[in-house]
Amino acid sequence: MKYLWLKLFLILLWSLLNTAAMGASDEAILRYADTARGGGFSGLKWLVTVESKLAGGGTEQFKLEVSVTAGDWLAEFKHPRNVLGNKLLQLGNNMWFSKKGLRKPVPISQRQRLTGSAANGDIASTNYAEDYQATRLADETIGGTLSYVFDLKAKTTSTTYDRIKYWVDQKTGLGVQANFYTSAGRLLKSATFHYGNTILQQEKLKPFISQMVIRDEINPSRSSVLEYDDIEVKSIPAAKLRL
Amino acid sequence: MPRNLLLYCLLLSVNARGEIDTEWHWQAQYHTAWQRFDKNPNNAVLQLPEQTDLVELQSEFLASSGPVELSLQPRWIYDKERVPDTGSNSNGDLNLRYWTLDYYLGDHWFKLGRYVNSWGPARLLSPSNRYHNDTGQKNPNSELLAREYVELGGQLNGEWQYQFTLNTGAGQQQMESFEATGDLLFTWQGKTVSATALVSKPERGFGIGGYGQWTVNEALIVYGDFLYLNQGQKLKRLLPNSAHVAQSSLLAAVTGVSYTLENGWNLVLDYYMNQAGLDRHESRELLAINHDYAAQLLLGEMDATAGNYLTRVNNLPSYQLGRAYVMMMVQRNNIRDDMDINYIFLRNLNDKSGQQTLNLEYRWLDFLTFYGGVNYFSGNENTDFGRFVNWQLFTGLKLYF
Repeated sequence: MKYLWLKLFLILLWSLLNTAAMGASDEAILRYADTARGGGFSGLKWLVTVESKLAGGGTEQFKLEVSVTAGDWLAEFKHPRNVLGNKLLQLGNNMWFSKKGLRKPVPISQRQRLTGSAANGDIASTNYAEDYQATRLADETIGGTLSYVFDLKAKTTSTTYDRIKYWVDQKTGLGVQANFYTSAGRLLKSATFHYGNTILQQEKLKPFISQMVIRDEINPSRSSVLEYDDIEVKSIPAAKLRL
Repeated sequence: MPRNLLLYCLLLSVNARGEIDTEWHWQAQYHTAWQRFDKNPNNAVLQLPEQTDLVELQSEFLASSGPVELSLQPRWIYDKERVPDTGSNSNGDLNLRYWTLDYYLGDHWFKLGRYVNSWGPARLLSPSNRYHNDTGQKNPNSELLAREYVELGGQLNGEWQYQFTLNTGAGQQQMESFEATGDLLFTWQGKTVSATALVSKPERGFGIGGYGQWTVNEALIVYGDFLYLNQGQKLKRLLPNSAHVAQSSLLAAVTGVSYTLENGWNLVLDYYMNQAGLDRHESRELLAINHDYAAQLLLGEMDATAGNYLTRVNNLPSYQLGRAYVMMMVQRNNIRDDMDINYIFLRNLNDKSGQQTLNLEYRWLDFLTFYGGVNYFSGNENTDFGRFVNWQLFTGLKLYF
């Protein structure tokens, strides 16, 4: 009995240290995975082609040039011709849309749909480590590889999704799958990530996202494939991110 | 000026980097509109056309090299109007509609040109923007007219931005007289909040204002926009005999909320208040004068006073609007993945008149878009929205190449 309080204290201390160590490790895993999807760069530019399978059976293709700096981004529509010149801007979690022609830029929500099953917030949503509180779940084997599994809960209410279940390949450290949920726990969409691109970062070649496939889990006939090309790691002045 | 500017810019760009990226886009549009105006007996006021046809060809030339970006947008426009009892009249024009020259130096930028310098989150009207009060949202086919500006702006740190705007010319807007005026804006950009404070230097007196938005969650946005303007002397009213004492200052503000449902429908609600606006009686008086001068115009007895008056009536500043308006907008993009729909209900809360607009846009092919819609005006002949037109129908197509 004499040492019970001491034992309890040591157990508590061990638990706290272990949780802290696990937390830091989880954050490092998420940050590395974010980097391969464009997060954490001071300047990055790429061309994203969004090919959507539509509910009516047809397809639709958009091309957007995306400039990212410190988590903020500007997307300029490059294709098709009838949306050429339209722009989407995200600063923090605030988002604006300007339509070609004379209309004034208007604030829009991340929930508004871009095309097919892709929301505006899917274009360059890359900061899971920063925007979400992570809880590590039991490891799972997905696609033949052992993966860390995270339950990500939004730190603020203004992220595109309230909750994400996220699988990160233990060998490569890359995010391979994500399921997106509403706050009520309803599965909205799922996404798989592929890394066929490489970028030079700190004189090392690192894998970079080449494709993201988004499936609409509410309306399974809809899906969107986002292809990433012409990736440039370059300094982009914040002054360029305006409409 | 623009041609010299282009040459100068290209020369500068070649010297700076030795290479120029250019893009050239074209757009053609055909627009036709019909309107009924039983509330405007014998079409006595403003001689409104029964039908308007418009053909427009515009091009956009973009050139960039290093820190310099140039945009030129010339336009050729031809319109034909059919006015009852007076026949048809037509008009053609070729002009440089917009041009801009941007120069980037690190986190700072410099811009000059002729363009629509819009700001603020409000959909209905932007009170803090004295140059472009009208956001163009309440009539999707109305054109916002450009002015000439010089701007300097930049990023002070990760959260603060500044912008200085000097309006150097009236551009396409008709004005009785023009004086250069300026605005200094400071914007704070937080994670979920964006807020701007501004100091305004109008022709007389001063103004302070601001606007901002709060992204509450992934679906809900709350925003506001206001301006307090003190002109040091009583505002020049269009109503010489009004019993209402004109004020030397005005406070105009708009507050709004936008919510996106899970199925993609977006709902917007704006409330606009204008402390110095016209009440119902002043509005009626304004219309009476308007009718008198219009009658003089018809009889060929128009003098300079009447001419100036009608010009001013057609370019009303915000303090000549009503005192309170509410707007509800319901919109949905990508219905069946190729159609946008937009419904707007706008109401003057003083005289209970209103406007309803339904607009559809259908992207048939990558290079071809059709659009069409209707404007319906309610209220009697002495009201803000009901005074002239009963309804308008419009349709058109746009070709991109």
